[in-house]
Amino acid sequence: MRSAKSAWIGVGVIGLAMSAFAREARADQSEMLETRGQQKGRSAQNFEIEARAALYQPLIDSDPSLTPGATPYKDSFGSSARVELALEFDWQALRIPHFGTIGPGVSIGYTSISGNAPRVDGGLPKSEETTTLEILPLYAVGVMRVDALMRDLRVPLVPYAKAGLGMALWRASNTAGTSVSPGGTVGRGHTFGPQFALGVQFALGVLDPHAAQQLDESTGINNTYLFGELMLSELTGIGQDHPLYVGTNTFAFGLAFEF
Amino acid sequence: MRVRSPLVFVIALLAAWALALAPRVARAQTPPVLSGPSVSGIAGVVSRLEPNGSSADSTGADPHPNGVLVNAINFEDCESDLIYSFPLLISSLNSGYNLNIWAGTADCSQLTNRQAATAVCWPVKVPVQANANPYTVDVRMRDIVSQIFQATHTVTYVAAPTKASGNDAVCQAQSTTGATNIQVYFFFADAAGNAVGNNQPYPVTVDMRAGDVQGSISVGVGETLLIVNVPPTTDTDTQGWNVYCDPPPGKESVVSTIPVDAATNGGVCVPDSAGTVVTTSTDAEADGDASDAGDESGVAAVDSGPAPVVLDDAGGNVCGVSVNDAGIPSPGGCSTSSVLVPGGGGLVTTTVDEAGNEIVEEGGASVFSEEGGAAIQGGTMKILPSGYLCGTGSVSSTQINVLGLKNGVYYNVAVAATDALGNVGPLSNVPCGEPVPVNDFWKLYYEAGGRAGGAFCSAEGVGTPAGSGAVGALMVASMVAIARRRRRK
Repeated sequence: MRSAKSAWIGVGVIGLAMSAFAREARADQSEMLETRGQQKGRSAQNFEIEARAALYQPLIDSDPSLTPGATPYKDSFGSSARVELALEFDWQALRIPHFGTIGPGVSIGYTSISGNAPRVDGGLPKSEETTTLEILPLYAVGVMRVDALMRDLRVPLVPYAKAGLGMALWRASNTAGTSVSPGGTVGRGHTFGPQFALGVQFALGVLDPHAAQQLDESTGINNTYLFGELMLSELTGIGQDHPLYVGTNTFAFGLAFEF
Repeated sequence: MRVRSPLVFVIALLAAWALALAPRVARAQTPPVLSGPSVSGIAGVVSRLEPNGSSADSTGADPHPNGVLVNAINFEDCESDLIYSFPLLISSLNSGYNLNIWAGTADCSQLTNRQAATAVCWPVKVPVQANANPYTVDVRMRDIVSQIFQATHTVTYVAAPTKASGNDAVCQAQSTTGATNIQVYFFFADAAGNAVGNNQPYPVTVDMRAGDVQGSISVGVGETLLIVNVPPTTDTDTQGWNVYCDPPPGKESVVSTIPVDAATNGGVCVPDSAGTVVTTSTDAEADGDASDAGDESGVAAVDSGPAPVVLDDAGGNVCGVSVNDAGIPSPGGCSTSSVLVPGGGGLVTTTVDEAGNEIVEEGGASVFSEEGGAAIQGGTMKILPSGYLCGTGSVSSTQINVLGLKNGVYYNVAVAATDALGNVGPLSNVPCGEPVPVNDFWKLYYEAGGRAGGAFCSAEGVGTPAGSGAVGALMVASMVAIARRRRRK
């Protein structure tokens, strides 16, 4: 009977020891998962895709090489901004525990600005010819995302910053095709410039954590965000003699998915 | 055997009767082939000939059938009075039987389909005596289509009017758009008309009518271009649009009146010693129009006002008075084109009857009335000079740009629908437009001092120095490095 009691105590001690060991192991694993960007009970997180929209108004008329007071962009297309649609892909290459992620990101966008090309003589009937400027903004940036607020403090906000190099391919055209200047220069080219952004993401998972968990389990999407950012696309031509100022400073909005 | 009930007996009797009758019914449906010569096939390729016997399928300046199938007849084929040449394989030649050639929508070798009261076929040639194998027989396309749109058919051969006669009624007879499939049958028949031997059908698709432009077109102006606004169509036969310009692009200086130098050459204007007719612009001096300042030497003046151009020969003799570059002399800029006539052959009025069907009247006579389908609004089919074609568009196009025009020249523009068999429908209304210089963004940018452009990755392009290329290369290299690093992980 005594020996049986001792045996039970022994089993209890071993059980407690194993439990303690397991708890320790889980803590280590949690730390390891955290380093990998994987939260407990969630799938691995390494990338982010953003679908973005921005009001786009190229800064062409601010080109200092233009005749003072000349506003060819405004004269052709008016002063209202157009919509740019873009996709961005970020790799959260480095995770800093209790801080956030750092990694590269690339983006491609598109916007088209059209207007009526008026008659030179201003006569009637009005011209039905259109003039169009198409811009394909591209950039490669470093992205720093501070998600410790959300992970550690359960505040569903993730501030972020981006900085890098932007480039836009552009084409000026009319109804007949690509425009050609009176001197024969084709209306097509590219412009380089620095690219910056500051923004904040709102984690939609906080609205329905259960649905967010299910989304992760079924698709591997860890977090879904609504975001807004101040985007500075200073495409004024790095190393270019005659750039077309097709960059813009604007606000961008969109949806982001981490996976 | 004992019969259990009268009902079983009746059923058995009926079954026996049906079994006995079945072969007879089958024989009635497929009558026996009478012995005699047979048309056993077509040897080689069916060719298409012009009325003079030359090939119509050669790739000449006006080839037929405009890229469509050989066994299809369109309006141009009919209008041109083309001929099919069939090389038939004949077996068991026998001078006692004539080769019959009929067209129709059913088996024309069946006598009932060739009898007056019930005819669904019509003869396309007088019966001939085939005397060789293979035997080549020519059939005019006009004869094939002559009765296709008639409710009742004549069973004696009547030749369709020839092209030379100027009567193209058989080519204009189609009153709805869309294709009709018929067959041309070759068979031998005895004196009573009964087919003997085997027959040979040849399928032919006939469509001699493209749709109408459903509504009016309008013309917008631009720099060296016109924008033709085409109303959408509900006709499923329409495959696209042809746009015609008068004068055609590049032919703005063509004189529309034949110059006459009666004084020196008996009514014939001859070129000067250089081999060209000299054109002399007097317009700038005559009306003092500043727009003439940029006229090229030897090219007729271009302005919006009347610009008489005098043609003379080497001796300075006046050959004839022409018009300005556009061939349009009126001060208002536009004048009626003698080539582009609305409706193809003339203006047509369309009314609607009490039942809501369109009745098209041409020259005061009712031409046809349609119920349902793609009814034709009006106009006659006409072969337009291909030189006036200045643009094309798909059926979904509502705007067609006509490029390569001259600013300041007035162009008459018309649109016609095209179909799958290459038919070109009646012309739309014929508005007039004058391309004018416009200010597009790129022009304004350059006028403001901007100097960008010159194409992407163009080393010699303006605004693309080596420095920017290096930055681009650096950017690409960075992205490649990132990708490779990730792969190693």
